[in-house]
Amino acid sequence: MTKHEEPRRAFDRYSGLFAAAGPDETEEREEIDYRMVTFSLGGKDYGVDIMKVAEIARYDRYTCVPNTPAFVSGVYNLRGDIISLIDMRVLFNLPVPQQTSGEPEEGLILRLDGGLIGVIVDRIDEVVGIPSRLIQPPHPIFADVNLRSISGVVEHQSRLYIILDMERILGEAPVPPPEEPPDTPPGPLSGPRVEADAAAGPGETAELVAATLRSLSGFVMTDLNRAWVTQRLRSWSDAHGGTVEITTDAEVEEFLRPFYSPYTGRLWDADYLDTVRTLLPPEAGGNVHAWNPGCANGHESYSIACLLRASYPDARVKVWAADTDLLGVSMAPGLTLDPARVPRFYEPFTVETDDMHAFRADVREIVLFEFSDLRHVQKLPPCDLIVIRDVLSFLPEEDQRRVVSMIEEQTGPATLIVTGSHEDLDQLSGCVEVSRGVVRAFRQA
Amino acid sequence: MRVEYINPFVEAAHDVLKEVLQTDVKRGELYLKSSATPVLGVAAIIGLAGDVEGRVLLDMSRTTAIQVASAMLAGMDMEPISELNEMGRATITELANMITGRAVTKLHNLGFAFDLTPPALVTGDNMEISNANVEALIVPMELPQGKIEINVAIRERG
Repeated sequence: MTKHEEPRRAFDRYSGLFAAAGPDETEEREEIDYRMVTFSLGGKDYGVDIMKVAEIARYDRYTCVPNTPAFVSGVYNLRGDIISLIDMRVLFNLPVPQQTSGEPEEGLILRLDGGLIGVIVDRIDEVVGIPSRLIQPPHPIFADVNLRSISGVVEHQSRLYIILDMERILGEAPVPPPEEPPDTPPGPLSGPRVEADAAAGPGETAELVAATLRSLSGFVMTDLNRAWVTQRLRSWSDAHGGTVEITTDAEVEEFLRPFYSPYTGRLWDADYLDTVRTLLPPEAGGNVHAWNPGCANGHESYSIACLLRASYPDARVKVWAADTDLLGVSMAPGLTLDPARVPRFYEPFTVETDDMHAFRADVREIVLFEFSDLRHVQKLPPCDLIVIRDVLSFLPEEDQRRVVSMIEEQTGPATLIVTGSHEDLDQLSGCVEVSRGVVRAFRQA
Repeated sequence: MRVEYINPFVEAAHDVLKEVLQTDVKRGELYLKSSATPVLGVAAIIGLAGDVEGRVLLDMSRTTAIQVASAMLAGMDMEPISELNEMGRATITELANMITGRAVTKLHNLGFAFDLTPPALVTGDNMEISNANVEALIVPMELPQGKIEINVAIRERG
């Protein structure tokens, strides 16, 4: 039973989430009735049902086809049969290692209902046999790969394999793109093709692009962000010879990249902290509360916690942080930092453990991470500061409006509301802008 | 719901069901629900108080309840039941108690102080339960006897 005792590194604290995946000894002696070909993608282990595999291949020469989605590498001549080649790494938005020229790509030829199709992976590993009852359903924490493309998870010799459902990923049925949040209905693999021709007015183009953004990334264009989308369309069109054609996940990602606020996914640095500090309301009553929906893996929440601790040394500080990404938010309380990337401001708030930095227990205590969906929130925690950056723009319009009016009803004029750099809260509410520098902020009039 | 609370409930539900039923338990995907939640037919409710306020609901169909209770009784060399009689209701109530008790013990070891109310069992058709402003975490468990949903709604006390 040593397997249960082996550390599972980051997942260790949450091993219960995987408890059901642990085989026990009686099960291990069971009949092996499921075989899978295993391979690696971006350093992780995956498997695919051997019954779907026609052969293991090394693609030494294939032909690129213009005007196809980025994940289609080209076509391959398999002893006279022409088959399409899909690069799984591009499809799943994983890094593609630099290929030595002339080195053949490794992959599999799959026999799916729709015919033969080739896939490229980082490395083919081996054939593994397991009792099929050990296969566990995918857990929502894998949602960022896309739950619907996973048929199960299995542990074998201390390695966790994600079994991909190739029929669903590559079969004839429309497949949701890997980036799509699990709640939105499945869309087509690539969005509607949008081309700005002379006949389409600028407004029409914006609506078409908005539909693509919504189906591929969950970004919803409303009055909150319409000004940014309009300006971005103009700069996109200028950079692409006057045409606007946004159809793939990669293009959507590229389009939205300038949307995200500074310090997304990392700690705020001194400039941003100082600017927010000048906007903070004066202390009243000895308690300072902040609300941080969409906290992801917690960098933003800890930045807020440290800022409030430094700004209100005598007050009791509390930060309410929440996200729907179960894995991200589960790991957030134990966030570790790369010492080389921690701004000096945070030094008094962190401790060194081995070669990593972590926040001190007294800082961790004031941040309360919740697994929660903003769309279900009816009552806000008490708050003097709301940090809701690039979160509203990814909610359906009615939810954007509901959350904004809830904020208006349940907070007072002293509450500072920090939004994403390109979100115009005043367009959805009676709030007035109090932005300073790169910090976009609002207050109720 | 606070992330630290999730795992104790998932682990407790899985372990207790596996132990008392001596069978395989598959955990489905966790998800969040708000507002009125339909109840499958038999629901054991336990209130939570202390650092938090909220409740745990163990929800299953009548058929599942009878089969689960029978399996638990068989494990104690007692006669199985064919309808949800007093013994069956007491057995399901006890199951809810065991799961919640195990979870609260785990939480206590993590430094969270929770108190439990005595369980209540509610049965009927077309029932809904509403959570006043509290989002519920649903932990579905698949058993040979059917599906049991552990529905946990907890909020911090302001």
